[in-house]
This record gives sequence, C-alpha cells and structure tokens, in this order.
Amino acid sequence: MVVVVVGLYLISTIAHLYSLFTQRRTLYNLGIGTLLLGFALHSVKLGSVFLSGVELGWGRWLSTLGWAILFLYVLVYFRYRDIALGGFAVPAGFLFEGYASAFPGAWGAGSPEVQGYLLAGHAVLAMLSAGAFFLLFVAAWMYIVQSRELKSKRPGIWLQRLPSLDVLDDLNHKTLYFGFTFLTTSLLLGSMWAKSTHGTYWSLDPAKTLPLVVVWFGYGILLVCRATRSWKGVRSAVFSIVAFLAVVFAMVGHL
Amino acid sequence: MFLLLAGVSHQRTSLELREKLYFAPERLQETLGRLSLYNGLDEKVILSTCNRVEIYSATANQEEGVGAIKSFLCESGHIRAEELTQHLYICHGEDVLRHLFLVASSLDSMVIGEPQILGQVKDAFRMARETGHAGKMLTDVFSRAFRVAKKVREETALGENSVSVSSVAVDLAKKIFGSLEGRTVLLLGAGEMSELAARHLITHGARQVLVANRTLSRAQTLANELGGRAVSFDNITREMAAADIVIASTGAPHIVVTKEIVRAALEVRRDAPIFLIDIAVPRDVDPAVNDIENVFLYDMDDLQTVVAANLQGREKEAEQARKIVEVELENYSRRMQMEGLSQTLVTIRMNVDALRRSELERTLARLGHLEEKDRKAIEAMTQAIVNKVLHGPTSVLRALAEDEMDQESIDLVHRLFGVGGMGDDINPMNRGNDVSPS
Repeated sequence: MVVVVVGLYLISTIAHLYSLFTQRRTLYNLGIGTLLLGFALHSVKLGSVFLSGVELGWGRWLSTLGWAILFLYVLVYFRYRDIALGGFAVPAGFLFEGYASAFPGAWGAGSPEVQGYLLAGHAVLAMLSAGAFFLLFVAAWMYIVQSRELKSKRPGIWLQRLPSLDVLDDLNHKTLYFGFTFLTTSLLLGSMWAKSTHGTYWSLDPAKTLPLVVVWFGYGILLVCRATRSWKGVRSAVFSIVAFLAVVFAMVGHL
Repeated sequence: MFLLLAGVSHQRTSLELREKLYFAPERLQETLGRLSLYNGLDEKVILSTCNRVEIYSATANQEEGVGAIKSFLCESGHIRAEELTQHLYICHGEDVLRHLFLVASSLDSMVIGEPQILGQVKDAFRMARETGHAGKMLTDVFSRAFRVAKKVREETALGENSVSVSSVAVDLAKKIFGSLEGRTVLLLGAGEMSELAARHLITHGARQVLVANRTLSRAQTLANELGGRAVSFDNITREMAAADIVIASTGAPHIVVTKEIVRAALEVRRDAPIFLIDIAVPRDVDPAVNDIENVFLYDMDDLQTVVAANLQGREKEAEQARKIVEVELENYSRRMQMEGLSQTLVTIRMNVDALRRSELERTLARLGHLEEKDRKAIEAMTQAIVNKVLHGPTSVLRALAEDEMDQESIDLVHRLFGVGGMGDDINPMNRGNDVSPS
C-alpha cells in the first residue's frame, strides 16, 4: 500500500506540474483523481498506525506532515478550484511521503514515550499547523510574484498560471488563521501531556522552545496586524515568508 | 452520397458581400425551407455568422448540388452569379470535413481561438437537425466536428489568453480582484472610450459606476445611461478611495492623477488594491503611480503589449491544434474506410450466398431420390466451399484496410466481386468525381 500511495502521488505530481506549466487540461482530472485516491489510502495507513500505537519514528512524522499539506491543499482545491497551489503542495507531499516510505526508520526511532491521545493530538496538530504555514509560505510567495508580474506589464510565465491577487490574499489570510489556531491548540495539548507525564507544563530546554515561541509570536503579530492595521498584500506576504523560516528552525530543533 | 460545402468567409470576402448573404438566426428555419426548394441537396446545414456564410450538404449529384447552392445564394443576396463565383469557395469530401473541423475548433476564425464559433456551429446544426434537414451523413460529420473541437479546447490553451485591448483589461482586472462582481468603477472623463470600457466592465459584473467630468451635465447624462452616479471632479481622492477600477480618459493636457492622490486614496482603502487604466492621450495618470504597492497602472501601450504577447502565444497553440485536427481527420478517414469495407464484405458474402442457394436448389430438384440426410450433407458442402473460397480474400482485404487503401484498389475490389461502390454510400471522405471549383 505504501508503494501505491507514493506512486499515486508521483502521478499526481507530474499531472499537476504539466497542467500548471502547459495550461492544458489534458491531465487535470488525472492529477486530482490520483491525489484524492492516494490521499484516502494515505489517511487509512496513518490512521491504522496511530491506532495500533506502534512506535513513531521521524519517518512517520514526515509522512504525517505530507498528509497534512495534502489535506489542506485538497480543502483549498475544493474551495477555489485552482491547481496552482497544488503545483507546489503535491510535489511536497510526494517528497515527504516518498522519503518516509523509503526510510521509515530514518533519523532514529521515535521516542518510546510516543503514546496516548494527548501526544498524538499534539503532534498531528503541530503537523497541520506546519502544513498550513507551508501553504501560507507558497501563497505569499505567489502573491509577491503575481504582484510583480502585474506591475511589470510584460506578461511572464506566471501571470496566467497563478490565481488572482484577491484569491491569494484570501488564501494568505485563511492559512494564517488556521495555522495559528492549530499551533496554539497543539502547544496547549503538548503542555498538558508534559504535565501528565513529567509533572510540569514546560520541560523542554530553551534551544528547543525558543524558535517555537518566536514562531507563535510572529504569526500572532501578523494576524493582529492584518486585522487592525490592514496589512494587505506584499507587506503581509514578505512577513509570512520570513516567519516560515522560523518554522523550519523550530521543527528541526524540536523533534 | 457526397459531402459538399460552399460558402464565403472573412478569409476571401469583404464584409459588404457577407452582409448581403447573411441569414439572421431567427429566420434560419425559413431559410432552410427555401433552400430545400432547389433540387439536388439531400441534407443541408446553413452556418451564418458575421464572419461566414457556409452551406454544408450531402448530395447525390455534386454538379447539381453546387448549382443549387449558387442559385440559392445569388437569389437570396440579390447578387450577380459572377460576383458570387469570384468569392465562393467549394470543397468536397475530406476537404469539407477538414474545413468544418477547423471552423468548429475556432482555427478558421478572424480572431483564432475566439469561443463563440463552436456555439454558433452547434446552433446551426441543431436547427437543421430539428427541422429534418440534416440526415445521417451530416449528423455523423457534425458530431465528429464537435468532438474534435472539444479535444482541441481540452488539449491546447488556444482560448486562454485574451487578444483585444478591452478583454485584456478585463483579464487583468480579474487577476487582481478575482472577479469583477460587485466592484466599483470610477470614470474620469465622460468620453466615448470610457463609456465603452465601462459597459464592458459592467457586462463582466462590475456593479457601481461613478462618473467624474469637468462638465457635470455630461457626467450626469452618462451616469444615467450606465445606471451610475455622477460625482464632482474636485474631490477625486475621496471618489477614488471607493473605486476598485479607475478609467482615466480626460482631455486634460497635464497629469490629473498624481502619486499623492493615489496614496491618500489607498490610505482610506486600507491598502485594498486599485487598478488604474489610463486610456487618455496625453496621459492622465502619473506613471510613477505604478511604483506604489497594491496599485496597478496600465496605459494604452501597456495593454497593446499584452495583446501582442497573447497573440504570439495563441499562434503557438494554434499550431498544436491544427495537428490535432489532422490526426482526427485521419482517424475518421480510417474508421470510415473500415466501415465501407465491412459493408463491401457483407455484400460480397450475400451475393455469393444467393448464388449458392439458387445453384443448390436447381441441383437438388434434379436429385429427388436423395434422403434428407444426403441433402443436408450436400448443403453443408456448398456452404463449406463458399466459406473456404471467401476466407482468403476476406482476410487479405481486412489486412489491407489496416494500412491506407487507395481509391484505385477499392475500385478494383468492387469490380472483381461485381459490387459497384457499396461502401461509398456511407463514406463522407469520398470526393466523388471532382467538380471544378468554380
């Protein structure tokens, strides 16, 4: 089944990239169909892993991250009917899941303590927030590129291929909102789990937690500024891209 | 039955002549009826648009068919035969198919890739079909053309990019605002150009139109026509704050919209994007306005540049589309040939079988003393001989048909087995005896 999922994602990746770059609809349905099928199988696979409570290594978390990115992209697709984001989300999902399948035990086995719904919830929500921030990162980058294309007055390869600024700004806002909500909930569950197993709410060392704090405050500030100071468009996009670098640091440091 | 097409189009004919020949869609049924009064056309479809008037038909006699169409067109358009002959193009068989495929796929259009033509061809065919003027042959041919057009649309990006200034402006607006639904347009200057542009935006969903003009009465008139509101020219910052799209076309000799004005408007808008289209010469909007974040300024030249780039892209896709048409044409021709062949084989078998029966009956009549069992054996033997004799030629023919089979070999097969042209009846690829094209 693992091979089937990766294979379907590979087909979907090729179809998405082909559709995005040629702007032809020949492989459009194939791209979406294989993605949905692969995603369904992927969900079943991950579900059974979590329920059976087997040890979760790095590979599993990468697989969950890929799943989270694709889950959010599928939602975006059905909301906007646009595959431009998929041109980045699907390859990312394919790479994460492909790597996880090729090296299931890579980077050492997971901590033996990984058990219990609190920790599982904490981890899945953390991956969902990382997935949302990844999509935010891509959409923010798209916003900047599209804005440049429109200003340059020479239609380059991206003008037709990327969604409208309106859609991209909306996407930036939604992914930011959901990513932040997931992250906050994940942190709460994490500290509840820490309390129940270690007796304290916050036991990690500063090197692991500092980036997390930066990430949380960064996106929090962005969210507030968007709401109160009408931070639209490019400014908000640049901020999101910088914040995503902090996410990468936080993830590498934390796990 | 042969396929025949005669018509005039923008490729070779002036608008003046096309106007005379044009048939209004609401009178198409009556027009088809009138065409039926001319002898020689068994099936017919009239395609009449502002760029072409074409009559597709199936006819048993091509010369008679061409004559019928010519006199029909001359009499309908009140034009002399010589004038028509000069412009009329006539195709037969496969060329009709190719032409129809190209027309339906919008490859023969004045603006290649424009989306209306397929709908017009569909309407023309539906009308002919509903009134009984399109029979089996044209139905087959047109359905095929619709499939080819669909394939072209799906497999190329032929119609993706706009190629006129006004639709490019709408496309750009959509790339900024997603859709124009509910957007507000501000017209600076109430000239004809800005009116046209505003109407175009309204048809694409723009809701509120504000008109600012130096003379308020003119602004008022235009605002009334567009269902909008006239506003004072003195406070354009305030009006611009409400506007998503600004069309500037004042006759002012200097810059009307400065960077400061746009900045101030943007502040009030809380940075929501503004799209400025400057169609005035000399320009109304300071070009430096484009440097402000979330502001997009296009003048006439900029729009033309986009049009030129899109046209170039469209030409590339059209090449791909033409290849698809050729491949489909070949597939269709192959299929028709196979169908024609199986028709021929059935006829051969029927002829030989009829021969066998009559010979069998004659022989058995003379052999009255035979028992039922022996009669059966003799019958089985004749059947076996027929099968064995036909087996060789049949399989050779099938194998031949897999490759291209030229008309000469087909004729030879028909002559050998004495089945004159059975397959031709259903093969629209057949050109028949070429009638000279004028």
